[in-house]
Amino acid sequence: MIYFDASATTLQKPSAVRRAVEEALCHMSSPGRGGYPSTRRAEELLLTARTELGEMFGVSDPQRVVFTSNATHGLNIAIRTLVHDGSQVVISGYEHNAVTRTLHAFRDLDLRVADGPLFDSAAMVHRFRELIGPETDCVICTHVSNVFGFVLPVEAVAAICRERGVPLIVDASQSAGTLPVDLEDWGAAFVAMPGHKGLYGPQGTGILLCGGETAAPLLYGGTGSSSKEQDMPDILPDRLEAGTHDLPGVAGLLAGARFVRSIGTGRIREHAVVLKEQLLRALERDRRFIPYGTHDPQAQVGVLSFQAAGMDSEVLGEALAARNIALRAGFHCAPLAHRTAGTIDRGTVRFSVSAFNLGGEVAGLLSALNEIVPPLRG
Amino acid sequence: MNHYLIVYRSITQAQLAGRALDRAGIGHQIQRTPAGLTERGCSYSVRVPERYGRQALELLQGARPAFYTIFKGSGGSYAELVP
Repeated sequence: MIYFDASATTLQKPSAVRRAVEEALCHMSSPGRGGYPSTRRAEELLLTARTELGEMFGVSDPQRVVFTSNATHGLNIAIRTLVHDGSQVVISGYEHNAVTRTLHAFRDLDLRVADGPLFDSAAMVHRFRELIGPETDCVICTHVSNVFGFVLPVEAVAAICRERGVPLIVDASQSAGTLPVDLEDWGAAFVAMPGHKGLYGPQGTGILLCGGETAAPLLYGGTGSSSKEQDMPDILPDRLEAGTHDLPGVAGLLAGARFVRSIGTGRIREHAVVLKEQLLRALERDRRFIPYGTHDPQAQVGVLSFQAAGMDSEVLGEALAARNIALRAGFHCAPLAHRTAGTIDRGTVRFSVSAFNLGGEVAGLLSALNEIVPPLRG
Repeated sequence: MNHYLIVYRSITQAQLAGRALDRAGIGHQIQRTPAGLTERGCSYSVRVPERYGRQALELLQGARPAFYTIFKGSGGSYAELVP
């Protein structure tokens, strides 16, 4: 199979991830629940993971690295901490349903959307500057659009938020492992990310980096601490980690993150951009295709959406799947992003790469596209 | 053996205190706090032999995360110290 759906999940994992998961499954029990060796091993793993991930993502206190079951889980915690009925919230026009559906559940929100053309960072900054005001309760910005690979100007948005004293939530789902992510540099209230995409961990893992806000628990239950009290502990990570941890998941996530650190996010990104450019240039030369890309390496990562003239995106995705080529088609759980970019009517087919993809696989995709997509009439 | 139990509210906090003691070369063990000593329920303690007590307390007093309380253990009984 040729797998180009890393933005959903990286399928190829480093072998160290599988070994770490197995080790945890066989030799680690519940952390914080006893004094015996298997629980101690689990506790050591958790603290090591919090410490190393904190170093990677600009969190000096390991207690502020919280494990979640995915980025959506983390975003829900962050949003439910900072947003209430009637709040004024500013979001980018490229947010995922993990943000927009969570916001939709509140009543009477004053929701302001900072929209702007694809790959135009300056326009996005301008719009955020216009919309963030003294009444703004929270700003939410994805670091990279999951549909288009557009790198949003999070550093500049963070600077506006700091200047105006507004808490910022960053969705780093598509950037963690590919771009620098730094909670403390940004001064963000929360940064949420999955473990199973650019960090090469197992599905069902995620991380919420917490700044200074007192987070509201989403789940209530046992934490192995302050157990006589019925209120959730007011300390992190316990406040946000009710119930038994996914220890094999965290073990795999740590191994995946170590893989990323060993290669370096810069090299991973360069590799991804080279493959994206290979596809983008070929699609630009062929009038049957409409690629949504830029050659500016600062503005787009290894994610490229495209359409085929006269062909439904899902039909094209299915035809590729029948040839054992995996790309995601449709709306990518991000209708707002499609609306902002003007692709809401038809959706797109999305190509997204990992560190394991090769140029030959891009050539294989191009060959399949050439066979599937009919020539233009006239 | 006489020892101190420096009580933390969570395993993570106790581990972080343990790491600080490791860096200072101060011998210690992390253990669950005896149930009879904890008003709030489950917690974790850093157990330090009496001979390292002063050194450990100097290091951890005022450090973050903050400990919850301290007990001195002797012959199976504990006395809470006023920090």
